[in-house]
Amino acid sequence: MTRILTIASVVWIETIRKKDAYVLLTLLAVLLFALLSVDVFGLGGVAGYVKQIGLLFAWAFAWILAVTVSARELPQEEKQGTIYPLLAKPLTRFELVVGKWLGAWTVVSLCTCCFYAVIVLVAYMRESPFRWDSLLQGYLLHCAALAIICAIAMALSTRMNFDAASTFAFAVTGAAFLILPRIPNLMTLEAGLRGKALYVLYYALPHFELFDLRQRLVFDDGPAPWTVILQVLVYGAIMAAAFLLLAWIGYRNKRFARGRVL
Amino acid sequence: MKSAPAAGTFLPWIAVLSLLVAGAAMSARLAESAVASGSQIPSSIAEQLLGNSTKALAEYSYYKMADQFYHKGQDHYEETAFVDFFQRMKEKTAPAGIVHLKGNEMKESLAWMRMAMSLDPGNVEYAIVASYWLERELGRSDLAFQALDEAAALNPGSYLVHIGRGRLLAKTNRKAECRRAFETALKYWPGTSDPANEDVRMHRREILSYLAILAELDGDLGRAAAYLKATINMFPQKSEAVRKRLAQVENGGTPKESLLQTWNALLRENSYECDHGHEDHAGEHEHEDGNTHE
Repeated sequence: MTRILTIASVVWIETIRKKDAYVLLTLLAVLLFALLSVDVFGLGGVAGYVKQIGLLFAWAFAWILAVTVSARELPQEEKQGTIYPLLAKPLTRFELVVGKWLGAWTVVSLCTCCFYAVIVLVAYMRESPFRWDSLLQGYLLHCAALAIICAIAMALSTRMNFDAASTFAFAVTGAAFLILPRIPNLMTLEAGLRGKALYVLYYALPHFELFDLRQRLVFDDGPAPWTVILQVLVYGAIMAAAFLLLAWIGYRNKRFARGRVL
Repeated sequence: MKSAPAAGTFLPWIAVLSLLVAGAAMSARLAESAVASGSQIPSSIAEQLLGNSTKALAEYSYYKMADQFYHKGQDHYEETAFVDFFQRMKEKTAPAGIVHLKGNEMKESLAWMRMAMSLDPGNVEYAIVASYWLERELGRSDLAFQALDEAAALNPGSYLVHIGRGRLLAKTNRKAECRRAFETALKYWPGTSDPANEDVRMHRREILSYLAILAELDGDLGRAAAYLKATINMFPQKSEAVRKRLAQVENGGTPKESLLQTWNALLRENSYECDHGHEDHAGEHEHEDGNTHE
């Protein structure tokens, strides 16, 4: 466990050193403060649209960060040649993969927390604060979704370079978020081979819509039942574990050619 | 040894994200006012940058979001091929029940209408819907008129704006101004719209209905009859009730009580209440007073 945490801490230090998270946080803050200037027919105290757009961008930015941070870790080590001294240490490949994933996930979750903090501040300025229990639920589920996204990107990066892994990860997770919830509707129109393909897709990819509590947060609907939240978190843990397992399988027998340009 | 941070890898992302944020931020700004009649509507920065995609964004994004806010986040019912564990779980975490925004809450939906108006100032329907809700739910007829004035300034030749004004003036019992608004609407009809289009023809019918009843309320039976005849000429197959009214007008006028009933019925039309059917609301929903799901 210590070795895993050490690897994770290295990911933390790297990500903090890079500017990605700060740029996204700044962009989010600028956007939200620009939205505050919208004149809603001279009426005051309107906050719903700020929350909606803020949460949308928080999800979008966290998604971008999760894929890019996770997808670059392993390829970067290979490209820089640091994978050799790393694996020469008493460190299994499983620990390496899990450590990288843990570092990526926790740092992205922390950045997401900062995004939420900005949105909470802006909502508070509009005198329409979030309910703390609903917000906690929304954040927990969001982190669970990010765990899966990081695991998917990590799995892809075991066999691809950063560009290919990140592109593929964006496509897969984007499709899972946007298309999967529509498949039960699409299946009323499709049959035969296409219908079967949609069915396979529906059950193969993770259902990110389960982790999305934005509507509850925006419309102040109160917290969802905690038993349901727990079930979704367990589902998230299972999916993340499954993709991490895939990552380990993809990495455990990978051979590195010293001196090869990756 | 580690190489320098690959900042170049992120530059394209940063550029794309900056453009996205700038576009979203600019689209939330108000459009500039028109300065001369007959000139093209001066376009906002968003319209100049994004072109016709602003219209699509206004309709499919902001207007739809206004509808979603009106339904407090609940989706409308759509047929599915199957219902499974994932959908049942999603239902448990989605906003529960259907209620429509009421009173002051309507401000939340109006924010999206405002953004739709800013992004597509040429579509006066947004201003008309916004003015309806400003008057009906918030009781702010002053702001409702302001929204319509803004739309009129940006679309001087639009008869729809004058119909919107006329409806609002009718609701606020300003009959003389109401008559003038509908006369202006009639003068501008059909504008750039296709006069053979069924919706456009129904607009003219509405104008004539209001003018006929206002003329009768003013005691000008000749003009009332002329408007009723014009309605019958437009819709010869569907004007049974209008023919009856014409007969009454030609015989000395409709009885006052019946006239007021017709006037009140006219005011109740053209509402922007939820027009989704009972079965279109997913999950449980409340029927509010006056909300007659058809």
